[in-house]
Amino acid sequence: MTNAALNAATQRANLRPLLAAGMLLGMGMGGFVDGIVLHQVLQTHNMLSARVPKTTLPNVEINMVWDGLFHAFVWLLTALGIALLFKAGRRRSEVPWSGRALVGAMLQGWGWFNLVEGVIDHHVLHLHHVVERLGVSAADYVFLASGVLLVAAGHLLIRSARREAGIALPG
Amino acid sequence: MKRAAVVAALPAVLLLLPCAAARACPVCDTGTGEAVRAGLFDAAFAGNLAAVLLPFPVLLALAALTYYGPPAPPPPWRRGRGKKKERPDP
Repeated sequence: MTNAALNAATQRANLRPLLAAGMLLGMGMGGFVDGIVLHQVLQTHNMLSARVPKTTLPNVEINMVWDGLFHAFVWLLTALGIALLFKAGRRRSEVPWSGRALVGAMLQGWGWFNLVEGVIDHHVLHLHHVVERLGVSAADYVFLASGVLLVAAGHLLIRSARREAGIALPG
Repeated sequence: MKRAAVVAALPAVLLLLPCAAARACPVCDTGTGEAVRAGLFDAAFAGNLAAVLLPFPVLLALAALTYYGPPAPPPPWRRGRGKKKERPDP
């Protein structure tokens, strides 16, 4: 490829569609990790367990319904991510197809999910806490810290992918 | 056509079958089912719904910001004081 062609291709290069797709996939899958591991397998909390304590069968079922609604929305985030990934795949001439960027964006999405859900549900609205019987505890802060770490790890991977593709920050 | 409709309806029928045995699902016509419905659709329902859904617009906004964010600056080798610089040969 000549210099002029390389410059033109690099100018057109746009990681954003791939990053947005990866971010939505990461948010969705991060939501599934929370829902499957903490709500269903370990049952340390449920969606409204701070407001509707799981002390009776109806209350357990009420929490289960709200868990279902939560899962429905993380499913929608994942589906939207798949749709955007498909669209990005059809624009291969301008969207660099980088696995590193995709994984980085997915880590960022997971991290943003933990941060946004953690701040809003655990600390502001007090819908539930990571370990419900403890209320606001170290586990809630570990959850937030995991979000920060995931966003940072994703950022490093995306930066490395941009360098590889010769794309300037932040596009 | 009829066969396809039966096949399509089968999962729903299979899902409803254990309802009678469980007798505690939110759509079951039992005391527990009624208690679940009463607990779900009480005065706090709208607030609970809004609270549960609140993180999702924020997450979608973050994804939209990633997709439609400000345009990328030119690559470093194209930055300069009005001069066009060619990318050095690899």
